[in-house]
Amino acid sequence: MTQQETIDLVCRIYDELAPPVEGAPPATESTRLFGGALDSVNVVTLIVEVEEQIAERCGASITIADDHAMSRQRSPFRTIGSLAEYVQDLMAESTRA
Amino acid sequence: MAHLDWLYDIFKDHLAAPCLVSNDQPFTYEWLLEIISQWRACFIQMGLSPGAIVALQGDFSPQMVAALLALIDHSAVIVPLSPSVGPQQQEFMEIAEVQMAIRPSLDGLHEVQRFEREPENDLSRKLVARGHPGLVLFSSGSTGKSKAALHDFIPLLGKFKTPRRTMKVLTFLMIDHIGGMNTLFYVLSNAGAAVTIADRDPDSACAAIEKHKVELLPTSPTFLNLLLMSEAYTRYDLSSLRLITYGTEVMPESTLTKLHALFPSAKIQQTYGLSELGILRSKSQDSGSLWVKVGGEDFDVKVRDGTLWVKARTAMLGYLNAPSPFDEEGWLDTGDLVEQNGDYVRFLGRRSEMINVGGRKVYPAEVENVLLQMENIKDATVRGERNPITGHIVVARINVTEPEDRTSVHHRIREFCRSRLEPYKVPVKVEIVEGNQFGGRYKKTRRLG
Repeated sequence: MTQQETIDLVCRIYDELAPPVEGAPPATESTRLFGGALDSVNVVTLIVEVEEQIAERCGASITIADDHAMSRQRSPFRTIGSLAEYVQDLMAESTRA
Repeated sequence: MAHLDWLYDIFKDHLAAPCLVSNDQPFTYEWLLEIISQWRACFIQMGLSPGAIVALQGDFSPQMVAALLALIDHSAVIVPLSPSVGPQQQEFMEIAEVQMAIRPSLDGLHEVQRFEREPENDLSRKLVARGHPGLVLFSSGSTGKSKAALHDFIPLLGKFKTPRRTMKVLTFLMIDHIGGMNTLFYVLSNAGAAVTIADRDPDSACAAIEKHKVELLPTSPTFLNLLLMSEAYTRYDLSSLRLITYGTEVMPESTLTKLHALFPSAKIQQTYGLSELGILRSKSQDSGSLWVKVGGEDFDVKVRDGTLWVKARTAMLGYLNAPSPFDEEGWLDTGDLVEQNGDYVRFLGRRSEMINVGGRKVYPAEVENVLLQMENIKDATVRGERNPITGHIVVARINVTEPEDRTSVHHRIREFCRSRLEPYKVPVKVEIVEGNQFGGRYKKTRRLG
């Protein structure tokens, strides 16, 4: 999966989870995960759903939210773009392993 | 004088009446008395000493019941082990320090296994010294290790001396379960009849109810769910049912509502019991209500921090393999979370199964109840899975009726739950599973991941 495909996947899940608001712009790479349209429970849902869909599409079993992610200097959960980047790293690691 | 003379006096007044129906064949109280005395003679012949610890292996059957009663009279400590124990049989026999294992067969022949060991457990020895028969029940152990509760059989039977309504009962609950034991002695002490079944699937159970005009069905919410899902009630005449009782786990409100509509003339009653304490007396507010009054003359109950505590006049003597769970005054923390309204309580779930999402409580039963109302969802089990962000996330395991992909089911679940549950209760993860989500005891299997 390319970086762009991962971004598209996260954006799609984000839009699905966000409560429908008339005229709200669709999510983009720079959309913030926290403090935006999603409450924190929905952010957790989004993360788990990304894991599931990656597993279904690529057969790669990745865990996004773990101690490793939480202890990084910069949180991978800032924006859709940073999350997608982190997911790409995890997928690369899982194919190397 | 034998321990069960009072019970045999009841049998003698009903010699020609059936006490058991097994494989569609009736067995009378006269037959039962005869077979009990054969078992007693057999024990003497085998050199079985009073106070011996004996495992009784098998499901409900006429020979099994006769052997059980004869063992009580022989002052044995009885460890019933039904087939649902599965591969843990050996482990359980070691915990209970079983000296002899008997497996009665249908024709009265039986397998006997002897174990060279002297009981070392203080509780067992104390009971044996008292000259009373004992009963060892293993807690179902959905979480953690099974605990062995040792009871003095005599006080446990005391309440059956009060006459109650004579009924024909389906032995759905297992003989090694406090509910199964309760069913059996309820039947026998009121000269009723127990109808045994080999399979506990909805069609077999319904066929037996129709054929033998069963009046009382003591069962679990899981079975009642299966009954609704299978629509087996449309294939059999179940009009003989006067009373349906459910216990052992939380009843989904949707199941109860449907059931109540389908069986308007049957009383639907919640029961409550624990391997450690026996069965409490209970009274549902009405057949469609999950509010229930529990207690009775032999029990004191109180709610502390949202949990039900019970003090029983005749509790178990203790666990054979764990410290005593009672406090100094004899109260037991049941681990069952309840809501309270005057004299009535409503069971919310086990504390050990409660999901904690970012400090907020989610009861699996509440979420399952919503999921079960959806189209194309046959069964749902909700549990918590550890998550570094919120502590736990809510995970739903779903059985679908018609094939449907996971994403589509998850999407529908989100839509459906959004308007019915607080956001943190909506399942974050959805798994589609094929197999049954319950064990041999027809009780949901939930594990905190």
